[in-house]
Amino acid sequence: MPTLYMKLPHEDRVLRPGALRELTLNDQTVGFALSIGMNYYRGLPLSAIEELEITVDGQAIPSALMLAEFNEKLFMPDQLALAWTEFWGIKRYLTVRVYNGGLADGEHEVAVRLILRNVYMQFGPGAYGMVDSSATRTLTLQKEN
Amino acid sequence: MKIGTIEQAVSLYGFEQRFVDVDDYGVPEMFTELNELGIEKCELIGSMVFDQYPRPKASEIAAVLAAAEKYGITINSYGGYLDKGKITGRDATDADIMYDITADLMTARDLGAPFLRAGDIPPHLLAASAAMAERYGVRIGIEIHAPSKPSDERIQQMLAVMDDIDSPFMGMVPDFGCFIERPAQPALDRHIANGANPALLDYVIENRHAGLDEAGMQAKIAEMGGGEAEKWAISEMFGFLSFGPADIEGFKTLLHRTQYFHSKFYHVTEELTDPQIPVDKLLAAIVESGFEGVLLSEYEGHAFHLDDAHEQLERHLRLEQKILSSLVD
Repeated sequence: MPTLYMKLPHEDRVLRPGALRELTLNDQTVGFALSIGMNYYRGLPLSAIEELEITVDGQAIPSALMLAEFNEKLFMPDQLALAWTEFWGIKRYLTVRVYNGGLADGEHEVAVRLILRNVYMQFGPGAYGMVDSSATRTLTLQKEN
Repeated sequence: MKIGTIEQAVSLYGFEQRFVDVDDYGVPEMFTELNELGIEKCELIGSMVFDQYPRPKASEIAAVLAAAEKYGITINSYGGYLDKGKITGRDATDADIMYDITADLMTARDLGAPFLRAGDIPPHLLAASAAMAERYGVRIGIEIHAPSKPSDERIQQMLAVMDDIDSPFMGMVPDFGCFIERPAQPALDRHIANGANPALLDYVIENRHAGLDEAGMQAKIAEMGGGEAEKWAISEMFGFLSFGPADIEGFKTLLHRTQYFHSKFYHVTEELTDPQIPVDKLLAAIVESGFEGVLLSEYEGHAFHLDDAHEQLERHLRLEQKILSSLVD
């Protein structure tokens, strides 16, 4: 049987130092954007995302406030499971826009829970290994120019 | 480097650690490393290297070909996959599997690769896959990978089907990771650094083949006080780092259907020994069989968080050269 639990040593790619950016519209702060990388050795289709949760300073972000952006396309979190033709290359990043009204300036503890189905590692009917690409980092909010 | 009838090559998978971690380290940089190692042939893994998969953009293929020409590298083999679970809620149908195989054959042909390293094609699709491979002029090799062993019933059944088909376009790529005899020390060191209790790891190693399956071992170690660190270790030792007596006799049964070899390794010492894999016995069997083709060094020590691929590949190539030279003289 293949390895059941996969967590590779590329966690620093999941949340890089500049990953948290302020999101403004018409000079008003409307939220933030978080750039998320993958901790694996190969890319996976977006449909492989089984769980995507973002927590900032201990507060979970409701998925209704999120939009994911990839390949110049927007996805509601629930739509990611359908996006099997969108390949998330290992050197690329998924941007999640969060319309929560914004964050205070400075540092924030950001936690991403990202679990991906290991699409080629099948144990049996409907059963696949999982890739744990979760990470927690203290990030400084990057201001818009 | 060619020794007798065997040519050494390198899998770009071995450079995975740096490829993933360093933004501006890409295919040209990996080809530079091959130049430094004196290697002219490689395996390139599509889902690792390309931003679009299973069919990369034409511009991505063109960029690889341009770099290959610049650095004098040829693609021996294209590493493909069967992504059977890519459509949420549905396992791949036979048609889905043929779609993935065809896409990978297209890309292999575009890259000028004579071989496709394929995933686990089910036996009933081997004939159709061989026919598609012949259309594209690319030979398929199904990787025989740990924790499978050549003598496993499933592998022998696959071999029998291949013998029935008897096509040069359908064969195997035995991976030397099937023959790990003991865990690599860097693997154990990593788990210990992760918080695993060395005594519990010793227990797992000593009892790996004492009857418990992975779930049973997980439960046993949890009872003994193991936590997350031990859980990861057990999973590896029952998965890609599975170990036990090397199935050399089984290996010999695959040789007539072998397209090329994945000479997987985790750690070669300064004295040019591989404490995990009996590479001398494997190479002796290959030479004895009269095999003519590629022996592809595939470094996987990055699984232990190490970024030493270049040094390790250099050692591994020298180790193989030493053994092969003694066998062909």
